Amino acid sequence: MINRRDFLWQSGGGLGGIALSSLLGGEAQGGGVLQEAHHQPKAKRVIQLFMAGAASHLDLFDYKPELVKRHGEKSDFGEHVEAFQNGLGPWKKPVWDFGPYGSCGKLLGETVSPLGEVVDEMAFIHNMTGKTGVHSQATYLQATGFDRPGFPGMGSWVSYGLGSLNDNLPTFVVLPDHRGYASNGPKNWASAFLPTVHQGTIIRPGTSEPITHLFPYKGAKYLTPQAEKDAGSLLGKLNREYAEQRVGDSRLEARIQSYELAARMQLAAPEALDLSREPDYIKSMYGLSPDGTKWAKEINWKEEADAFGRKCLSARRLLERGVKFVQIWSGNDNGFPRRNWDSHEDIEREHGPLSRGMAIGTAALIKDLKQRGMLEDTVILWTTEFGRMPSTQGSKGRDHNPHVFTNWLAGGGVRGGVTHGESDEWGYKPADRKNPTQVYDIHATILHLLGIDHEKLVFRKDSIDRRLTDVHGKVIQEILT
Amino acid sequence: MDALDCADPSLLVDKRSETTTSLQALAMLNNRFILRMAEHVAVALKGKDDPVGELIARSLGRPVRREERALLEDYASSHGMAALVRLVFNMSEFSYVD
Repeated sequence: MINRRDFLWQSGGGLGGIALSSLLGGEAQGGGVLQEAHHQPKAKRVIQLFMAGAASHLDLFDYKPELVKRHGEKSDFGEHVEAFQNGLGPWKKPVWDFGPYGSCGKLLGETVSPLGEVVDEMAFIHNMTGKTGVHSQATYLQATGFDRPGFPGMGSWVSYGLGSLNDNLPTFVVLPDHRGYASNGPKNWASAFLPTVHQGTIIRPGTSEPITHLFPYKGAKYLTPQAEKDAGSLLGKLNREYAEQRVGDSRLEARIQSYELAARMQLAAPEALDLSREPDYIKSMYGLSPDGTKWAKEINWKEEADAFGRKCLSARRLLERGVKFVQIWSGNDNGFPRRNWDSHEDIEREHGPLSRGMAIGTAALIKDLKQRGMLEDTVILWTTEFGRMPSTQGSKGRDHNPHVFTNWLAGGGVRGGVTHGESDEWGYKPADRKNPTQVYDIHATILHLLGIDHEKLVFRKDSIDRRLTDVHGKVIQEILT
Repeated sequence: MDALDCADPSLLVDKRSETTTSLQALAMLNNRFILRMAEHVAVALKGKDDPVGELIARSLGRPVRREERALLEDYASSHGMAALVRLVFNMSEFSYVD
């Protein structure tokens, strides 16, 4: 004779759990707050590529012939410039030559030429403007839509809206640079005032513990795999009985579901992150070198390509297995030797290897998603916290330029092979200073592609209906199909 | 600090959020501190007349129930006391006060 409780538990495990939670009422832990999309979505997944340190639009994506013409001449912006440091030297042309790529003929810098193969999928925005030239505020602004701490990352909002019920992996995954965090660290992907379940989960592909605590601490020899397994079942039974005696306390059901997801992650994550299952031609397309390759001391493109490519390939595998939002970081903190995009001293030295590595991995990712039929419902955003100055800093560097920078998008619902919004002739500010593009517009557009009206996805906090786009944001119709 | 929701000092809240995430579940199950402490408690209970009874009394503040005693003792005899203590640390009843 089997009781109802055990029947539900045994007949579906997690399914029984879900039925119970909907009976308990309210939003099931991990279920999206939106019962249905606001309109027909074009995409169901997002990849955000964040170049930490401020990538120079001028040397990668935004070709300025005026700088080539006037290279070495005293810079004159026609107005007073409040430099971040002292980067107001002579005009500096792009370090590398630009050439046309794709049917659209988009001009790309030589180091990012690997993206030439997929440039017809990309929509460029060269008139992004920010609010600050300080890394932490600017990174918060691009990551959370607010230039100060305390607000959820875009991935958290997407998780909050669309939910993650019944997945085997977290909804929002973050792949940090293996050398360290960018400015603000984990606060860039925090859930802030949203339920904690929506925070980004850090995954470090290629390490022995890709998710912290995925496996028991090795020193506890008393804990055998069978002990773990039996503990899982017994714990589930005891916790379920405890929750059933306290109907209405949704925390208890939430807790059960977290343990269930943890158990599913223990099974799913190792398989998802096992790149050895990929054929060699795929790994080499992403720029991976053989495992255990010894790297040179100086920053070099092969190492950058390997690091970035690993993250891109892992991202593809994670997205195939149900992850909805993957945020990949390139570049770390401000240590020396510099391994980030904040090239005050020498654009060529860091931007060269970082951009080539990024381009190889990203091109592979776009091609790979396309050949698997996933590009059409995956939105890809490339962003950075601000741009860099057209004038030289020192002899070889560029100072911060918060006034204009580049973003590009590709994938689900994005019109490829277009450029929306130009910068001025030096790449110093937007060409039309009254109509720049801001992060709110990017966020509104991405939410729109996911079937979400950015003005309607809200969370009430301190009497304000908070949203990702604050009180701003317009969907950029010009870059949509 | 990444795993457990370390209070964010930049947030003004009337009530601190209380959700369990899968990352916290993993931490409670697998973290070195938890596993070491489980061993220490097991050592402390060694030689007692009723180790399972005392474990429940000390951790949950109540007497062990008949049905659960059978389950817990069965688990302990298969996997040892330290593993059982780890399990008790992960019970909802251990984390939440009625």
